[in-house]
Amino acid sequence: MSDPVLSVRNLTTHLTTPSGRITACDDVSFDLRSGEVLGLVGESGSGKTMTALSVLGLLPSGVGRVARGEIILDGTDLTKLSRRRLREIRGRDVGVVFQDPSSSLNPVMTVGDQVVEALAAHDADVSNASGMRRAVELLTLVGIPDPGSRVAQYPHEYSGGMRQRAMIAIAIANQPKVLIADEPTTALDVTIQAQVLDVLRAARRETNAGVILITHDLGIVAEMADRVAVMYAGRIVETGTVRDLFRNPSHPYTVGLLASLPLLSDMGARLQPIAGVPPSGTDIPTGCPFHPRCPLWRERIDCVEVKPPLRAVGDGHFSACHFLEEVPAAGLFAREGRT
Amino acid sequence: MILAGFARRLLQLIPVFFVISVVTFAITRLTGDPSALLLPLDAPQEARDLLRADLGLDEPIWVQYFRFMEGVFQGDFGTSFRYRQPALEIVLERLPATLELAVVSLGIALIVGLPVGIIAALRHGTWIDNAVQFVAFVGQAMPTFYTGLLGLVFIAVNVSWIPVGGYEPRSLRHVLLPALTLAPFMIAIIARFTRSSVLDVMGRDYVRTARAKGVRERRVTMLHILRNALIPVITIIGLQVGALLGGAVITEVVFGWPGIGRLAVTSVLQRDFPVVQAIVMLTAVAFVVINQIVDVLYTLVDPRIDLYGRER
Ligand SMILES: Nc1ncnc2c1ncn2[C@@H]1O[C@H](COP(=O)(O)OP(=O)(O)O)[C@@H](O)[C@H]1O
Ligand code: SF4
Ligand SMILES: [Mg+2]
Repeated sequence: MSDPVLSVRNLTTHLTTPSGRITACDDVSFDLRSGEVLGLVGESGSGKTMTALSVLGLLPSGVGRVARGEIILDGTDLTKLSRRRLREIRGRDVGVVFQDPSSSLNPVMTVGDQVVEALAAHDADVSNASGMRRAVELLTLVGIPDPGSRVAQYPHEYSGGMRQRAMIAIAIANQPKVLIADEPTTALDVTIQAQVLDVLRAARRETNAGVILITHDLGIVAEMADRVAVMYAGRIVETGTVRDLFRNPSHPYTVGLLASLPLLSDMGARLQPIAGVPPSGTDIPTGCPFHPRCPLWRERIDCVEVKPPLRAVGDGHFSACHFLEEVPAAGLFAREGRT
Repeated sequence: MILAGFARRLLQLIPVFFVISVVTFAITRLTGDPSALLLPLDAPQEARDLLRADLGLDEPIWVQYFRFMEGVFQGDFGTSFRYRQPALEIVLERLPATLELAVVSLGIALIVGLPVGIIAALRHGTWIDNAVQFVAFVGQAMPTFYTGLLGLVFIAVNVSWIPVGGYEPRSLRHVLLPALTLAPFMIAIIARFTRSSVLDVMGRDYVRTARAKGVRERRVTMLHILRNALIPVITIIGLQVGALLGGAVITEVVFGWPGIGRLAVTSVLQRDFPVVQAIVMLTAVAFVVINQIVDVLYTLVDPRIDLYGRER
């Protein structure tokens, strides 16, 4: 297998908030290869966005800080770079699409100008004319109709789906090696979501970038991703291929996520969401952070006292559960109306 | 296009002017009988009646109002009881002094207030920001007559080239102290508003997008943060200009500045109804015109806003 283009090792990110220090990413490690789509899933607040912002060097200033670990992009550790070198890499080697397209574009700048700005930030030779020609090409690539006149329009003249297409055009403007899409369809109409995912696929084909697709929707993962990492309370609790996770989930949390996924064969069956709420930033349970909600816990002391490390379940398939061997037979989160 | 919108909105304001005229007219007449002030205390009743008839004050109030409005539509605000000169002429004579004070004090307020507010926001949470917030709070709380008197006592008395009061057209020496008296309050308002607007924009998603593109920090600040943050500041500046054009009453009185503010005070005290009415009506017009200008400016700097002030 080819070398990973991005390799995150033991990333630990702290946020300093008025109510205390949050460990938003706790010992996160993963690899990403060119042309591959890695799905990063987990409930809201599990640290997906902070993982992405750590890679981009865009943690909220004065609040977020990478405390430990390495982020190796093409052989260079980004955590050791100066702000200036990091700026040169952002938008050139790493592109990003954020969640809410209606707030992610500058309202008083034309879409074309915002695409050209992405080009000009990394190439002093980009003129207005050559930049605009390239902007029209990029808008064509992401499927914006009549791009020749659309470049001159402002974001408020675009629909939500078109704004997200424009964001994708900006993200891939410099042929990045890594493309991060943070919940790119969450803020969009259901009818538009599939179209935007298609554009994301086209963008990956065009750039051969490795894609980190952040979502809380396992349906999107099944459709788009090659591999998956499941996050809970800042930690990766299970990782493997899409097939591994859907056929042989080996962490009780993953089983719970799958159980809450509506399946066609299950029409009418009541969903079984995981009981309880995910832990909040400053108040993470000891040991295995999932234990208060875990149906496999059964008051066992290990789960309360020892943080479970990731252990191999199969080739490239890991789970951070002390009792992962028990997961397949346990019948966790059984659905009502089905046996 | 712009002019058509402008004219349309002016038409919509006719009822507003109408209400203002009725209220001013009624209130001035509640202050008492001008003839009591225009004639000596021991003047005979016949002389008073003659004067009242001469000023038109013997007619029923609704007839007086009708006469007044008839004049207003022909640009005639009546004749000053005191100076026997057209009221409009008297007000316009005082306009240059008020304008001069307004321009200089607003200029100072912008030159100081905008950068201070911007720097406080960009350095938010540091001692600089805390200091700015504290000083701005004090500046906004300090009464103008107090800053004016402080200026008089400490500056005008000690610095020989700064006069203690009085007016000469376009003389920096003369305008400096009154302008510096008016400025702190406006600096405080502009700095505080600018600070919160810049802070707000700094946290917007599109600023994060700009950084994610690898745009240089200076460009992020100028083009993405400031360009957006200064748009709403236009409104605050417009309000300040409106207030200044009505005359800075206290400052003008303290420094003997012959502007509209001081004229308003003396005219009220002397029950010079036509002059008071002219000042109120013209100030209202100025407010409306400034509002129009602010709206037009918005359409020029913010592509989301259309001519009627709506978000597109
Ligand atoms: N700007 C911020 N300041 C302080 N805490 C934050 C901020 N953004 C997120 N957090 C906290 O960091 C943790 C991880 O959040 P995030 O990465 O946004 O989660 P996700 O993207 O998976 O929903 C959460 O506990 C969240 O409350
Ligand atoms: S380690 Fe214990 S609490 Fe955590 S998932 Fe496994 S069984 Fe549940
Ligand atoms: Mg998120």
